[in-house]
Amino acid sequence: MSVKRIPASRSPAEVIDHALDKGIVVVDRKVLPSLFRVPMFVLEARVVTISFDTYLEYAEGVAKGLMEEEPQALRR
Amino acid sequence: MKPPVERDRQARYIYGVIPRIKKDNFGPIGIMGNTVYSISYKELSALVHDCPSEPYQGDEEEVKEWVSAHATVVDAAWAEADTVLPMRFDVIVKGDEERSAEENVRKWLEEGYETLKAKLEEFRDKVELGVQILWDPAIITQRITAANEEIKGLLTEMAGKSPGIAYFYQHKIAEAVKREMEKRAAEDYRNIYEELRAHAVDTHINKAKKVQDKQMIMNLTLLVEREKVHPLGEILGRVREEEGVEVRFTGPWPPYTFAAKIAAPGEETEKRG
Repeated sequence: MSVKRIPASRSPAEVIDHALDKGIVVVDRKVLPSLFRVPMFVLEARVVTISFDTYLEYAEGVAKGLMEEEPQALRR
Repeated sequence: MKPPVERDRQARYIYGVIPRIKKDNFGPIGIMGNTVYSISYKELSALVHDCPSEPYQGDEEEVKEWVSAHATVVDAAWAEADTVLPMRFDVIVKGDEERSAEENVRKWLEEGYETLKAKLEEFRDKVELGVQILWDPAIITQRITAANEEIKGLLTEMAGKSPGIAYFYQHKIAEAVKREMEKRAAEDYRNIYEELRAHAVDTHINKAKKVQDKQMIMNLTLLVEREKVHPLGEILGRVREEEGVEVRFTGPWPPYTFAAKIAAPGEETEKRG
């Protein structure tokens, strides 16, 4: 079976994310008096720690669904 | 042309650093149509435009337009010089009592000269790639539930129990699924990471982002030689074959992430979470 290769691509949103969030930042004002500001809309925290607590909800949901709708589904 | 005195009072917006090349003016491709030109020290050039001594701040649409222009300049410089150290958006250098803005830019190049030069060589002909792997929690949960004997056993025991007891089982099953998920995510992560890393010059592990209805299990940035982009795409194509697995593969980018790790003399890179 042939697997389809994924091409690397760039969306406008990702372009913005890179130039806004990455790259060299100069913080030493003596060497380079930089005036760096993060625009307000970036401050909505986008990064979260990976957590599987969401799975707990899903798993409970799945177990509940199996019990209510298809109790035999996984017994084969 | 502005008189020199007035121009001296202006600050310089920096897009990035490249090796000094013949082209020293990139034309009006900068933010708000500003002319982008180079300020050089020995073999290094910083690409700049003249601007007032204040940061660019505006509403979301405006900022997006400026950031996009910033990225365009970095791309143009990258294409021209085959290597670039991109600055983050909105790094502006101003003059002080001792030096003009232009002199401060040159001084920065001078002080970081060896590091910046070495990094530019290190990044030559290399590209940055983003790899994100996401799980569809509903599908993965069902797959794990169906394949795990312990969980299947618990489901069998649960059937026919009173609601109170069944509730207790639900919890137990959920815990077992969660454990199995974590195990699978860790295994997948390790395997995929090792496979990708074999093709990369450097890797940077980012925190997983919150994505609606999905669980990100990997958020990686790779620095690779240009010709490695295709083999990586093949590996990721294979990863995507699995049901419930989504792969996001972005790039090729100038080395934004890896350049951000540079700490030139007199600087410290910002700690980023």
